[in-house]
Amino acid sequence: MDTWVYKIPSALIDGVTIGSVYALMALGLSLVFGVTRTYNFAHGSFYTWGAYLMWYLPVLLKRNLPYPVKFAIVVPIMFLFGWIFEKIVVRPNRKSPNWIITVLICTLAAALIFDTTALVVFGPLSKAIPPLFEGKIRLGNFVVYVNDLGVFAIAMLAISALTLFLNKTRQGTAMRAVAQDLTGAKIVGVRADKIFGYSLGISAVLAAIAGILAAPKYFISPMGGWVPYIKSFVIVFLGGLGSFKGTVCAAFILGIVEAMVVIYLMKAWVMPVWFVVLIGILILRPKGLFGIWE
Amino acid sequence: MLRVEKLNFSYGEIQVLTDVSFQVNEKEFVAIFGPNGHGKSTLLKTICGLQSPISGSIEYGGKKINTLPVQEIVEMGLVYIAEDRHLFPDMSVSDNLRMGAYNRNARAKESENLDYVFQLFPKLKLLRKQVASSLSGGEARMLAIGRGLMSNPKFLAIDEPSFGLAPNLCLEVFRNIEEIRKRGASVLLVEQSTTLASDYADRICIMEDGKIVFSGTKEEALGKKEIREVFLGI
Repeated sequence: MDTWVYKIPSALIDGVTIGSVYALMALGLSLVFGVTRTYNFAHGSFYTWGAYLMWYLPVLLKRNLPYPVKFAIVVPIMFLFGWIFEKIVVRPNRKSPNWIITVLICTLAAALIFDTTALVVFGPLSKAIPPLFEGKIRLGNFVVYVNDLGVFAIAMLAISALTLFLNKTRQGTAMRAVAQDLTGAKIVGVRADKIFGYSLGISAVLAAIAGILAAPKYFISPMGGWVPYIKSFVIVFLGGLGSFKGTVCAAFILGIVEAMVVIYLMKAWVMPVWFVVLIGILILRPKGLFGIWE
Repeated sequence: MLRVEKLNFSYGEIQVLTDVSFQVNEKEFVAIFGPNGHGKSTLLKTICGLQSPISGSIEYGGKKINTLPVQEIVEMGLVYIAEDRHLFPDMSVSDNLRMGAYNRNARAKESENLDYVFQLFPKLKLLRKQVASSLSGGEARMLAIGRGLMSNPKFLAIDEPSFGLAPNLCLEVFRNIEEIRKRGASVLLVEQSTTLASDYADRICIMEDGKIVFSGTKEEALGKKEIREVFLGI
């Protein structure tokens, strides 16, 4: 009886922590879909490569640097990665007749290339990076790890920065304009090409940060981006296509569900339970929690 | 200011514009009339850079703009106001207007132009916090014109401004276009109905089957028997 009750706060903390990481990943997917109307199948590879870069930096430089410095190096690299990816893989295919499917398949091909390269370069064994924050806090009978708090804080910081960018800056507003009406955006002079590039760049950064935040607990492996990618899909659909608020809420709800399932059932039940939740909510609200589009 | 010469455009196999030539001089107001489906909207879209012509030349302010996309043309002062409006549905009226000032030429004059737009369309000022998707047809059209004005136009290309508007609103729209002209802008307007626009325009053109069949003043149009029938019938 005692342990059952004590597990709940623990589950909530785990759930909120992992939920914030999922939110980052899902927001990246949502942003790309909103702006370019395509799904980027290489989104999971951004997650994986962000984490691998973070792992590789100390190896390359032959010394360790504090995490803020490493973030300052990896984030711009990932932005560039996403931006170049848009130019090479997405942009040329936009002119072809069935461009949505062509882009889908090309991003899938790119994902396989990225993952296989990771496998060859880094090897099949999982890698770990040290926790971002050390220590634990004791509250009565249970323990809160500072790393979990730190992960949550960093994720929320990233989400706030994204929200600020989209709502208060000119380029961010232009990005929302492109998502809402591409022709209208062009008519007022927005360079849609640049905006597409930025959206892929930003989504790569979001996925990379998610990968880095999850890496100390969940390790890094070449194919490790696929499960988070699939989870992002569920989150975006649950929250509702076109709604950032929905994506964030759905991420936290599903994160808590996941933590509960892991503690009370088994890890293997996470995805089935998620799908049940998704289907349940979609029956009641076909557009998702806060959905704008079908 | 705007010179179009032998413009051709087709959607696949269907020829929509055939050897269209006309010009709009500085500070002039030219209206193009014609039955629906005969190429008027396509003509405007091609001139303004949303579509590329198959052949022919478009010159604006002395520069050839055939190959330029609409994002660059708007920076030169040639502003397109679409029949479909293409507003940003989830943004407020004032955010839509502010986005109108996105291009580099318009940014510096954003607050000045915003005041001007609110002066011309007081209703928009009342509705400024409302989300664009909740506006009525007439309000949305006013917003589309207002957003076009925010782009700091020297030349306005308007597609069917009065379509679906109540008569008193139509009158208001044309009076506002007169106001804008007083500030020195040139106007090229495309309309299905000749009733109001022909009173305000300096010259009119009539388009049939993707070709310009008449170009001149309203009086000249009424003077020629064949044209008069088409003109009064449109």
